[in-house]
Order: sequence, then structure tokens, then C-alpha cells
Amino acid sequence: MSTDVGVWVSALLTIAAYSFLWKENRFFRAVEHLFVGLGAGYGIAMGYSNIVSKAWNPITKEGKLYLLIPVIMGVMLFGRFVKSLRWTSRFPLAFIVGTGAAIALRGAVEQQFVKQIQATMMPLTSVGNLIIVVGTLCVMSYFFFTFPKNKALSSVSTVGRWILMVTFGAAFGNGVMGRISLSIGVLQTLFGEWIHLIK
Amino acid sequence: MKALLWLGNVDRRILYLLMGFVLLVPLVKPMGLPISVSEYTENVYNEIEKLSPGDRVFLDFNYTPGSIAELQAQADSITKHLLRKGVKVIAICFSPEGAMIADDTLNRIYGGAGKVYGEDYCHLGYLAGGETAQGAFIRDPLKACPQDFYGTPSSSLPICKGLSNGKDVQALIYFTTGYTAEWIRQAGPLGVPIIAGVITVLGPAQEAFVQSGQLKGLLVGMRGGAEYEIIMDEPGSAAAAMDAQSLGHLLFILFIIFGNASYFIQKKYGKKPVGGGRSHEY
Repeated sequence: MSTDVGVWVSALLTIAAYSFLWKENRFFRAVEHLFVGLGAGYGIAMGYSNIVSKAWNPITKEGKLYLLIPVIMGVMLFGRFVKSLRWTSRFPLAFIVGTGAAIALRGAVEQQFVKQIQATMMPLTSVGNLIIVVGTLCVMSYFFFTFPKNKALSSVSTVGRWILMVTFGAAFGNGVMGRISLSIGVLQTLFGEWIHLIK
Repeated sequence: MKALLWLGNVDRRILYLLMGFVLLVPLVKPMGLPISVSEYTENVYNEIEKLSPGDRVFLDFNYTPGSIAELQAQADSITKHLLRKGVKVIAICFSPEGAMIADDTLNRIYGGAGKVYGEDYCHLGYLAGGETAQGAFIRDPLKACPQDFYGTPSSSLPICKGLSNGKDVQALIYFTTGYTAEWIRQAGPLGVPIIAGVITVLGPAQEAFVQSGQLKGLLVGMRGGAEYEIIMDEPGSAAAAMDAQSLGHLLFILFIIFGNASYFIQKKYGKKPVGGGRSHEY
């Protein structure tokens, strides 16, 4: 068995967290609260370090006073906690949403729209290429909602629906695979690092 | 028939125990099932092989300790490969917890190999702001991160000399539990070769970018990490876990088959299907 205190703490907390699978209990509750508290504390520490390195030090040591603008906007975000000052939080929030959307859109048109369409323009010389092109067209036809579909379009749209089902199945399969990987990680910690059963 | 009906109503705790047992046995006594290396993993390997000694890459650690089981094997193997190639690494994180993981990974692999911090590798720490911060970083990394993780001015680090934007690095590699297309949108227009390591659930969504050539390579989940360990000829924890992964999938398939069979039999005989097993009291 491990003689490392850290490994013991980690193993006991893991068992307490997994005890929820049996039933809700106070050990699980305690670990849940501990986890939330630690996460919040770590987030605050990292946030504080960010403010010091990217705002406080440049303002006080390098005289970059223009950084006061984002600092003031950041402080305004906390206005939502005071009823009479709630309105002040709307301006920085609007700025964040506006710039965030604009920055994402700048790349989205070329990278997610044009390039993805280009990627479906391919010679139909292999079964894989054929499936990609036909599959894309069938799925797109499923999302025609603006006019009634005739019989031919309905059939194509049904194929598109089936392709979507297969995609959801693949996503679910990947989800299962991910959860099993996480369980394996826990078992490796408990039976490998803690009680050394796994060599 | 009775057995199938019983299976449909089995207490889910029995299923948990069964799954735990099936996963544990091959971890203790490995069966040595063969592991094939996918084309996507080979692409990642070949892309890193193209790098020359002295080249610089960005490594983005965007995951939390909860996903270490899925992503750490990928991060370790790729970092070891970069070390073997003599490539310089600049780490950056857009999640607070990622900074801690990046620090551990680089100090363990690069630091452990005697590489010098600031010359061969550096860690620029956590940058808040999500995609907006990513956009700012790729366009001017030193302006976005004036100090590294330890508070040293990043412009004073030799590795950062002449680093004015993403075009000055030879690759961007990210490990993530949450990105969908953020780096594709922000770094794609600059023409930086991008490689991704993602958790399993993100795999299908990212494959579209591999097919379009926007991602040069893709590692998916623990399986991706295991494949990379095999291709590097350094089998580790992920490769050792693949037997358990395979048996776990087999058991899950059996659960689905028996669960559905039981459901339809109950329906046929007019019993109200339970669906999902008997839930215990909370």
C-alpha cells in the first residue's frame, strides 16, 4: 500500500465520491462541498493572479493607464449585486457579448462555412467520398422547413434523418467510451497508486 | 424468458459492480489484446516528425484534473515526442486548472530531461477571456501574456525572442475538454498547423476539421493516447488500459442488448416496461 499521504487523501475522497453509486450519503455530500469549495478557491486565486500580472503591475509599475478602462469595466460587472447599481453591469456585459460574437464571427465565415463546404466538393471516386457528399445533401434536405416537401424530397429527407440517427449513435458510443476511460482512470488510481494491485 | 425479464429489472448497483469488476480484472491481469494505430494518430506523429530542432510550438492545456484519465496520456506522449525532436515548447492555458497541469507536465518531462526553463520551454500561465483571449494571444502572444506563470516578464525569456504572432511558431497543439472550433476560427486564418487532442465525446465533431484539412491530426480520448504511446514505442498507462476498455465496451453492448430484449418482452406480455432498471431510493 502507498505510504504517500496525498495518495491516501485522493483515494479516500474518490471512494467517498463514488459511494453515491450505492446511495446518497453524508460522505458524498462532504466531498461534493469540498470539491466545489476547492474549485471556487482555485478559480479566485488564478483570477487574482491574472489581475495582478495583467492589470495591477502594468498600471502601477509601467504606467499603462489605459488599462484602467477594462479594470473599471470589470468592476462595473459587480454592480449587479447592488440593486441601485444593477444597470452599470449592462454596459460591460454588452461589450463582452458584442466583441465576443464579432471575434468568433470573423473566423467562422471562412473557417466553418466556406472551408467546410469546400471539403464536401470532392471527386466521387471512392465509397467514402460518395457517402460524405450524399450524406451531407440528404441531411441538409432534412432541414428544409420553409415549403412542403414532395414525395422525392421526403424520401431524401428520410435518408437524412437516418444518417442523423447514426451520427447520434456514434456520439453516444463515444460518450460511453469516454465514461469508461474515466472509470479506468479511477481504478488505476485506487488499485495502482493506492494499494499497488495493478503493476 | 424469465431471466430476460429479471435483467430488465435488475438493480443498477449490480450493473455498477459488474462493470467495475470487468474493468479491474484486465488491469490487474492484462490480456495483451492488439492495439492498432489509426490514420489520425499517424497524421499527428508525422506532423510532429516534420518539425526541426529549435522550432517552437504552442501547447494549450485546456482540461481539468477530472479529464486527466482521458487526456494526460496524449499530453505526455506528444510532449515526449517534441522533446525527442528538440522542439521548444511554449505552454498557454485558457482554463484555470489547465495551468496547474501544464506546469506539472512540462517540469516533469522537459525539466526532468535537463532542459532549461525560458530557453527550451516556458509556461505563460492562465489567460482569462475564452475565445476573445485566444484571438488576442495568437495575434500578439507577448502582449496578451506580459508575464509568465511565475511572474517573469515573458519578453525577457529567450524562447519568446521574436515572437510577434502565431506565424512565428511551427505548430499549435491543444488538449481540450471543451473547444469545438475556437482555435480553428482564431488560428486557422494565420495558417498555423493545428493538432488537437480531445476527450472522446468531442471526437466526432472534430473529425469534420480533419477531413477538411483544417486540423493536421487528431487524438481522441484515452484510445488516442494509447495509440500514440504505441507509435512512440513507449507503452504507458493508456496502452495498459485498452484491454479493460475493450471488455467494458463488450459488457456495455450486452447491457444494451439484454435491456432492449427485456423491454420488448415486457411490452409484448402487457407488463409496463420499467426502462433503465429499478431505481433505488435517494
